[in-house]
Amino acid sequence: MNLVTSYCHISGEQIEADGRVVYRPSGDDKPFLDQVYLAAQLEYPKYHKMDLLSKAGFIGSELLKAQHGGLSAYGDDEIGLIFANSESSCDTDGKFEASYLQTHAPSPSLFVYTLPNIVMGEIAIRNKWYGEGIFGIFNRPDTAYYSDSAMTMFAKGMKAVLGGWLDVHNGLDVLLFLMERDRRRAADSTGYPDLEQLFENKFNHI
Amino acid sequence: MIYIGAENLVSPLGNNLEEHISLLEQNISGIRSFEKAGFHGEDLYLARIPGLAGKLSFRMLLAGALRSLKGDIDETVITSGRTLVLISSTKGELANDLYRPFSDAVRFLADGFGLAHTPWVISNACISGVHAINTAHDLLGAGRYEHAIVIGCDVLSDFVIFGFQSLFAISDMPCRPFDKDRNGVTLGEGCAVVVLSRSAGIFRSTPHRVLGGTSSNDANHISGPSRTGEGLCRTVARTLQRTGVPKEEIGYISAHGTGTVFNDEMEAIAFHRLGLDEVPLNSMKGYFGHTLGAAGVMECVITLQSMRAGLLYRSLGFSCPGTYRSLNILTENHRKPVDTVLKTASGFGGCNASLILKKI
Repeated sequence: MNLVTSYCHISGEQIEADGRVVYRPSGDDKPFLDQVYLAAQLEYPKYHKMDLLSKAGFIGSELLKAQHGGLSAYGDDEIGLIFANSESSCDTDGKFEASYLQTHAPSPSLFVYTLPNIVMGEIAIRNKWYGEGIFGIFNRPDTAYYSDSAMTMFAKGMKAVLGGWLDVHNGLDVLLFLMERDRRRAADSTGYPDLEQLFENKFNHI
Repeated sequence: MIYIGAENLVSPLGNNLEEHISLLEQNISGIRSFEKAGFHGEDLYLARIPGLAGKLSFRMLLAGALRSLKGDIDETVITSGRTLVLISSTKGELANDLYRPFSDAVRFLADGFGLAHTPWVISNACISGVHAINTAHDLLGAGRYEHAIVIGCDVLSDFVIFGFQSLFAISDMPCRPFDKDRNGVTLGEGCAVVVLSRSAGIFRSTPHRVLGGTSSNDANHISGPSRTGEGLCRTVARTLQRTGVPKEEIGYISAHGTGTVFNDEMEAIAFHRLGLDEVPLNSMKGYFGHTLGAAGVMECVITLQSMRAGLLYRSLGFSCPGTYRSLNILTENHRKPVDTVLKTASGFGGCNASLILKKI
């Protein structure tokens, strides 16, 4: 039974959502995610303060919502977040370490992003979601982590879960999905990937 | 029914639970002043484990936690294909490899002990420990595993100390949770372990039950607690509802109580909103500081011990009420049989978690 109802894959070359390429980098000097932020007209000033991990999770979740047509049918504590990566918050950890080793001024604005679960806080704040949230760290995407966490969250009253893989330090390697407890894709979407296929297709190193 | 037991811990107070018990009964703290520990060379109060040093101390503590189980449970559980190990931590082995802070330590543990499954690392700031126990409970409840071993561990580093200093969040005295003179956290380090199982028979001593729990985000701020205690209220309300425990049955709350002005105020507001402000409550941070990702597991270990002994420990560092909403904070050790306990935690990223422990 496939509960995945939308997905979005972000790499340095493109963003693909539900099998369709939705963004490619322009020749612009701006980082790819910032280009997407502007192109998608997200207009959320807090975005500019976020670190790379939070930006990736934020952009991915906004695109998933757009792809899905919004998630407003769900209550504010019926959407759970299930994220994971291999590198924790290392992109910002390295910058924070440099702030005290090299610049001799430990930066509080960097330090607050030196936890991987901060991205879930940013998504919760953006959407006013008060649901469950879990962040796991694995060498490789572990589909059992996602499916087991989704199952237990559904059993606890969540009706949808948004989650995925968020490695950003050595190039963007991001795959987000939406799973819904009571909704299935239409019958004409035969071949739409389930969780296993999604990660197999996108991460051939699995 | 999910059982929990075989609890043990390492902190500045001792290398196992036995060594902790008499010190806790005497309300002795493991917090000391350390010379030139701060970024500007200033002395800082910390809860450091004596003799713990080196880049690999994290994995050594994890291994020690697994070894400690050998006398406390059926040993075959550790390597069983029906067992999952969960590690709760914020920074792992950061001192060894900032860019892959868990990878080597997890492999070391899995290979060294012959674990059947790769351990899960749960990294949800300061709720990691409570969250990992809840996750273990849910996986067992769903029948995915028969047993789970939850290890909470974080070690002190310049990284974390300088970070909390940059936020002006470190207390200039041993932390004083909920007290009117509190002015920040005392950072600590430690490692704790509990075993959850669907079978009571694997435990050498009578286990307790874990009824499960939930988490909730404040959806308010990434580094400041909610002024209304929204996320903490929601998780506790959901946990009570899901476990079917009436709030009148809660005999004791093992609170988070970091000692910062805003966190403790937030907790007081939340417990007041929940109608739990009369329940005896303490924070263990005055004994071994705030151990971040390890805190939830360490505090559950002490709670399980409190339930066994019928002894609630004084909330060390508290003398004068200092929150707008008053709470029933333990100013002395209190002998009392406790049947049902609420454990809570809150952390950066606006996360909150809670769980219920109960005697068999």
